[in-house]
Amino acid sequence: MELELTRVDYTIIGVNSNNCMKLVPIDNNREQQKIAVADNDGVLQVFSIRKEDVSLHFKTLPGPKCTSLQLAGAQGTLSDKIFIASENEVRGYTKKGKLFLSFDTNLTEPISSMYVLGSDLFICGKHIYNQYRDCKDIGSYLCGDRIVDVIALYPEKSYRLISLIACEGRMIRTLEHARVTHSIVIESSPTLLYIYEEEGSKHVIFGTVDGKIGLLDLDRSHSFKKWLISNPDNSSAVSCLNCYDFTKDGINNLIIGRNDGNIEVYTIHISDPMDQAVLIFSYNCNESVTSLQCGIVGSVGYDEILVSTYTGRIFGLTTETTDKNVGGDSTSGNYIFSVDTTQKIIKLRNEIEELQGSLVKEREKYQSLTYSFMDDFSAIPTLTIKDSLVLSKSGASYTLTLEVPTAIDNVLLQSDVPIDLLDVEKNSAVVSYSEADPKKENYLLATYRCQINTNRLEVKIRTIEGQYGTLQAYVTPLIQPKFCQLRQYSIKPLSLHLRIHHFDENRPYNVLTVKGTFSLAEIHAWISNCLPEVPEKPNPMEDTVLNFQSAFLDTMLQCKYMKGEGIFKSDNVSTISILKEYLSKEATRKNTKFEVNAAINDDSINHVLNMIDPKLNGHIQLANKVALMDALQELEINDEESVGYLTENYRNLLVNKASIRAEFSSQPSYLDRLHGIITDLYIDYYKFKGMNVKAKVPRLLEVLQRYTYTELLHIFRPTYV
Amino acid sequence: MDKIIRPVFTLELNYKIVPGLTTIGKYDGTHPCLTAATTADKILIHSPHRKSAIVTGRVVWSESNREIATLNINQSITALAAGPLIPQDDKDILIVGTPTHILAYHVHDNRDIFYKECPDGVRALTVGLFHDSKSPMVLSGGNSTVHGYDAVGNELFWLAIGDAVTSLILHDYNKDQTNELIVSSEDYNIRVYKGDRLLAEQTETEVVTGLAALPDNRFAYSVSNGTVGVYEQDIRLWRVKSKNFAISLFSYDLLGQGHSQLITGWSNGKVDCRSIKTGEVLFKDTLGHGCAGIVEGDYRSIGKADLICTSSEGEVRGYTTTKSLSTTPSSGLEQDTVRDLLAQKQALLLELKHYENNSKVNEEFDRREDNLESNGVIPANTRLQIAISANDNPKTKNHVEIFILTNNNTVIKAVIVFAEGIFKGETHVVHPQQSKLSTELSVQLYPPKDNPVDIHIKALVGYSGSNQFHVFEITRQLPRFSMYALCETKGAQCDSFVELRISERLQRMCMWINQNFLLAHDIEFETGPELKICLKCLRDDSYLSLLFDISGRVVIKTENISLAADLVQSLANFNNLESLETKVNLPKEEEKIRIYMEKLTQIQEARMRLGTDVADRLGQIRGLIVRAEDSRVNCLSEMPKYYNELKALNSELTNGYNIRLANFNEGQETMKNINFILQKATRLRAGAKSSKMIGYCRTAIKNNNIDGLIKIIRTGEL
Repeated sequence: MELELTRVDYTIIGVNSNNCMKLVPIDNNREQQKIAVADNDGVLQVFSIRKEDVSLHFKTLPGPKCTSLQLAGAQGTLSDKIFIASENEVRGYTKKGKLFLSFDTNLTEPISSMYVLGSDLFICGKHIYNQYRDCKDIGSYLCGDRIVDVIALYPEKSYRLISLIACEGRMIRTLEHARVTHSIVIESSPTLLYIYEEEGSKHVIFGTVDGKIGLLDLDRSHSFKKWLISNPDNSSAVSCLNCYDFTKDGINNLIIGRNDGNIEVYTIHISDPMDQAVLIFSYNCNESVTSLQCGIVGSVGYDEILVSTYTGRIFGLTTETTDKNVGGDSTSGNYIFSVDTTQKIIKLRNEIEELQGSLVKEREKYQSLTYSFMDDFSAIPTLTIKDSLVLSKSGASYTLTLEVPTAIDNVLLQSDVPIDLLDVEKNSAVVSYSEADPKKENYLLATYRCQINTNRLEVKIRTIEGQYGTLQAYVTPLIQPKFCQLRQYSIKPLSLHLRIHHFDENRPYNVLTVKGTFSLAEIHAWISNCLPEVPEKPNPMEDTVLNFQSAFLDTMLQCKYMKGEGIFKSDNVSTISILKEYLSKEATRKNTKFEVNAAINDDSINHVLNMIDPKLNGHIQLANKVALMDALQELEINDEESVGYLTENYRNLLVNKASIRAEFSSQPSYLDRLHGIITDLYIDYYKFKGMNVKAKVPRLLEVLQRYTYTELLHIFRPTYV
Repeated sequence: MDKIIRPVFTLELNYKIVPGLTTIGKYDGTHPCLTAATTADKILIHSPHRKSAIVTGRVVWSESNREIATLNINQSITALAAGPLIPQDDKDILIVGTPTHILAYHVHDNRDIFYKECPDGVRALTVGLFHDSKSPMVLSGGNSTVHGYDAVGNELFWLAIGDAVTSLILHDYNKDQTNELIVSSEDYNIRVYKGDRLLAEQTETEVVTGLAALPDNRFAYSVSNGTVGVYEQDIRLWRVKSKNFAISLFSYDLLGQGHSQLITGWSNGKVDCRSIKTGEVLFKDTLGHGCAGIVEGDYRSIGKADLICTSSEGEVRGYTTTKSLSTTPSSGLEQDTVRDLLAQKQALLLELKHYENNSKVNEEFDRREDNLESNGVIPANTRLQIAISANDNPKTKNHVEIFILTNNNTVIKAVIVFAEGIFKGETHVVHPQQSKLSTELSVQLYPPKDNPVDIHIKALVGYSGSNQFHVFEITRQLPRFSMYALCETKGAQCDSFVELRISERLQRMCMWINQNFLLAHDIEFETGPELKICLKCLRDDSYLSLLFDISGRVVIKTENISLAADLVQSLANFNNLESLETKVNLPKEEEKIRIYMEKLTQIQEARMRLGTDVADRLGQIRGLIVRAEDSRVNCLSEMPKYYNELKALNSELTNGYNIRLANFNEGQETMKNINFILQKATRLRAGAKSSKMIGYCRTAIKNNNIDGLIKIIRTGEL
């Protein structure tokens, strides 16, 4: 069943964070609901929609940035009290705008997420979790990982209040009385938690940075249960979730908002283990979605998804068809606007005119400043740019996203390490590479000139492990006075490694041991500069153990370290070599006494080559298929009858030609990348043996051209039989 | 948001179509047939209105699809066109171009109208009325020339272009009710000819790939870097650039506005409809694969032509003028208006906020001096000084230097130069190392051609620790001859010169020099009988001297014919000269043309010889095959012997083919070089003189008159 929704724009507010808009519930669910929204300027406003126009109920004065907005009410009443969190203060308003609570938490960190349930208040900063009942502190927990979201609930068949925190390090922790009761490991970093209600039962679901939705089992095993939605086509992070019954079949639909601006509606039966989620609606608004809520907003009797985006647009996707406005003489090409909309347009035009008037004055004032001889300054407030550099496991590449509250003019990317930019289909910007001179620390100089009305730019980047440095993005928005903002991202030496929680002990491991007079903080800093996703704080009590997996090769790395000692285990010699080099360099720079010892396990070579083998073979086969395809297609075109005489194999090739070509082009220069890794492995392996084999590399490449596993192994370990 | 125009018909040809090679023709005089070249070097004719199927000959009707016929060409197809060619015959003729031949084929009668060898190759074709011919003419653009043929294949027209032709259209360019020829070529140029006479010339930033005539003496063009634009005579109305390439351009009134829109088919399958005047996108749709061509024809027999889009995988979609358009999208449209207005409001609010913040910072300045630098706060009176000069420094590579300097202690973090055609992409970035940031910065540019270039400079100014920078935007124009610097030494004397007469005051000549050259100081003429300046070309260190006599004599001394031609054209334009006669003495070019002409004769002779060889061999092969097959029946042991001989013969033939191919390529290359020189030579004159010269050249080449050619180059007369 398909859903048809039409977009209706309501208003704009300031730049806002995730989870800062809610619809206030009412007794009678046939009437229009009020919208409560808070933005980064600290303004909370509550309004409703009358005749497509905003009618404001109240608005607070600007203040510090609001990071979370929640609704709650005393048990048994409607949850229509509005709570907003800004810096380390929580304030409560009634829907009429009366301030009834102002509560300073005295936390050392600003609040990043909050949850309110009855009289319980849960507040999280970056690392601190704090629980209050009736504003009295009843417990706290310090987490090594960064906390991204918190929720609390009474699970079924239980009256114990539990809370869940989602942590960046691929972990969701359940807490009871501020004590961790369970740590649930999940495959990718969560972005948010949501309580999904279906037929009276509550399920906890979560979204991830790679665009998946998962379900937790809290009743029995306290573990990850299954993925509900994992869309291979869209791996943009989930930014908000909501459930609402659009299909009117008594079962809630799941509505997802993503960072790339996609809004999706699914039908789903969570309690049915065999059920598959079905996408029934999807819409892209080109700006990252910060919150979405479902209810009755625009007009009575019509369900609607209300969406707020990062740049502050508030719009609805309504089931109401707007065709009613059609009328008049259609052939003349004059469009007949509905009265409400016309009014709204006129009002907007007037507002814009007024703004333009005052802008002209301001511009003149600014211009005159530039001619003055006084010590005046030209200052532009720092623009909030929403950016992220995320490693995606598929394709082992990074996705850089930049989003600005206004249109982007151009983006200059500069890097002092060799990296590759990959084309992203979604991105319409014109890219131009400028000649870069590596001697001047410029390995990459590329400009992206954006098409009009682009607020968001997505770029795929491929890094090479072992090469580290900084990627800089200069973002110039299309706004006067012209300025640009610099964003820096560090490309780490082991950039393609991901945090995992299970370490496979049965592989042949190479071990690197370092000993010296360094402190725990020092070695922790080194490791976090070397690997992504390292928690900000080391565990001070016991040994810190961090496990990683390579996104490209699936080899593993375990780091175990404490004050004065670190043990690193990996089945990949290259990983060990990169770590060794980096750590020695850092230690020498700091003049710390440092002792390195590497134990190389020769069998790890067989193991790694074995892991590469299927990838290499698979890709060689694919390349062969593609090479054959051209000839086969020629045959197909020229000689239709002879296709019938082809072998089964070749005919299948022709049938699947589109998918094979797509697979081939989805991994550009994949083979070269594998060859590079094997070459590095070869050089690193012999370096540990004290030999320089650079001269033998051509021989290795020759073997790779006509690859067989045994021959390659023979090159690596000539004596191994 | 919504697709507001739905295709009126869709069909699958099930053939792969070569992008760009589609046309439509009414081969029986009434019913249009979509015609396209397939990737297997066949011509596909789709005739949905076919009644009888008794046509035989070249055309082969497909077994699986009764509407499709194919035409085997056995050579790669390089151009396709269809149109009424024969006078008093309303049936369209299909014209096919291959790398060596041109074929005019009467599809309905199934006969060849003419089949001619084109040593220059065929790269673009068009059919129509042109020049002083009363009947339609086929115009064929090759590697360096344009030929015009009549209905029986007689050559009526000839033109040297100087580089490979990419597209040809016949179009009333200057509203004189007759067609002008617009030619785009691989040297980035679009030229407009009225008969032999060059009316206008535009230079783009990359190879121009396509042209399309639009109503009201406008035409659209596409460039290989993804640009699409529209000219109204010689004024560019707009251009847009995308990361895909335009394959096909077409003019059609899709939206029922009473006048047509520009329809563009892109390499990624997008088809968009833009306003001709502004370039605004009014509608877009996406085909499953890259677009192969867009044509127009009455495909549904309703008396009105539909727009037909073909994709490279053979998908065909037909669209028609959709007047009722206004009813469907109105709600979408008004919501779009609201959205646009909201966006506008948002941008304005943000800007206002910036100014407010600026005043706040200035008021509170005393209190918060600490982190100003990191926030990129700079003194309000910061200015950028900019100097552009031709840098003739023996130590470094010669270049045009843009020197930028701030007027206080702020540093230049990076400079982005946006310009087209002077570097590989569209931007050139200078990003100094963090440790070497300073208040000054120099950008080095190497314009490869003598063209005026607009450069847009964006300089990021702030402090070395800032995370936000002010962007200073400056636009400058590099003059046409910016890669020339004054040189003190009078230079080695060279005996190559071009001499012409322009009766203008020398002061005006100074003006021309100052506008077109990038000199450190403006040249001024005081007194004396003549004005002489010596210049050095920064590209190849060759010398150029310009001498302006008080009597109006102008002498340009250079060995470079292109440069001389550019200078003459620039002078003629500057002084609005209708016609300009020159005396030319370029011994090196003359020598070159003599060598090329001789070489061409040799190549042609060699080609004749090679041709007879092939005939011999063919006879031998026939004989051998018969004997080999004979021995298969009678004496099996003999068979390998014959097949081995056959194999040897085959490899000999392959070798022979390679030799002929090399010969052919060499011939084409030589031809191109000759035409290049001739084209430049015609550009040494202007107006009527120049077009007369083209006629002379043609005669001289036909008669292989080398001395005549040289005389033409020297004097413009035969």
